[in-house]
Amino acid sequence: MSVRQTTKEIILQSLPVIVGVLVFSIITGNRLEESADLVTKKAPVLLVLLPAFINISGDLADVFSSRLTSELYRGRLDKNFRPLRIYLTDLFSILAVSLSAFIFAALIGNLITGYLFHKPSPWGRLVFVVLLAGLVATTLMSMIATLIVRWSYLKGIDADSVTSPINTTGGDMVGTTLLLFLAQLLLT
Amino acid sequence: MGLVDWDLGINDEIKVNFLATIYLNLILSLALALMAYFSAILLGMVHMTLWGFLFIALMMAVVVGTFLSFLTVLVVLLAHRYGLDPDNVTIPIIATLGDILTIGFLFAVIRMTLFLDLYFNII
Repeated sequence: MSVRQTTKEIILQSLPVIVGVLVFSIITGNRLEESADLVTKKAPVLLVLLPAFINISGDLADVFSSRLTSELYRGRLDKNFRPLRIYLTDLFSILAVSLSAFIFAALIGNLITGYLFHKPSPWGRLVFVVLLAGLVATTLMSMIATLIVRWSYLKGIDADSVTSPINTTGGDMVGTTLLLFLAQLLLT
Repeated sequence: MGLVDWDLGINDEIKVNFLATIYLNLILSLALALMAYFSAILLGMVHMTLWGFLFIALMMAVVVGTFLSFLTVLVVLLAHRYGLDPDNVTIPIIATLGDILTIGFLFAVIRMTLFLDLYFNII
């Protein structure tokens, strides 16, 4: 296939997905705007933490789907993600990374909040909220990533062109919703 | 999978992905500029002409898009060269750098547009 044809194919596969996820970005922004009071006044740690939090969940789902795609194309996994040992190793590695990343983010975020706003959240409760929201978001996004990778592989669509935008935006939406919900429940 | 390697240099595989990224960036930036302009009209918050929106979006697409695409290729090739799995390292690095650079460049481009407006009446 020529450079021109392949470029066209990548654009045609990616464009509808990116335009579609724009809608979810707007919903996420709207959700955040509705919680402005919580973020700025009741729990300012969220102001510091949220960008890092949503980056972590989106990035990890993206790493997971990249690994799955590579393993499918290298023949290490079949279309049903077997042998399951490889799939589960990837999944648990991602969850292990997320565990340490979310604890680290919560601690650093609260430290910065204490320095900037002189109003840190209770340490134990914050770590619990961030960890719970983070693990649920990462697990959920990993499940979604698995479905998208499988679907695109079966349809003959290059998974690299469609999974990234969905994971990143999905991670933003799921992460923001979960973190704000749990923070509202447990931090205020 | 052997299609991209430090020793292979800038081959067709990289060129294709690079071009596709630039085109996608251009198309989406222009679409976003149009959406922002018409949303501003609907909300009664227009302080800039359509050309101003298009100019800023286009500058962002060209500058940030090109820079980040080069950076992505570099990170992938370096990761592979030093025995790291690009799947594990490229996405977190590029996503975070992308956020930081995009915000930084956006303010720089807005400042530049305001400066150019003094002479060329862009906005």
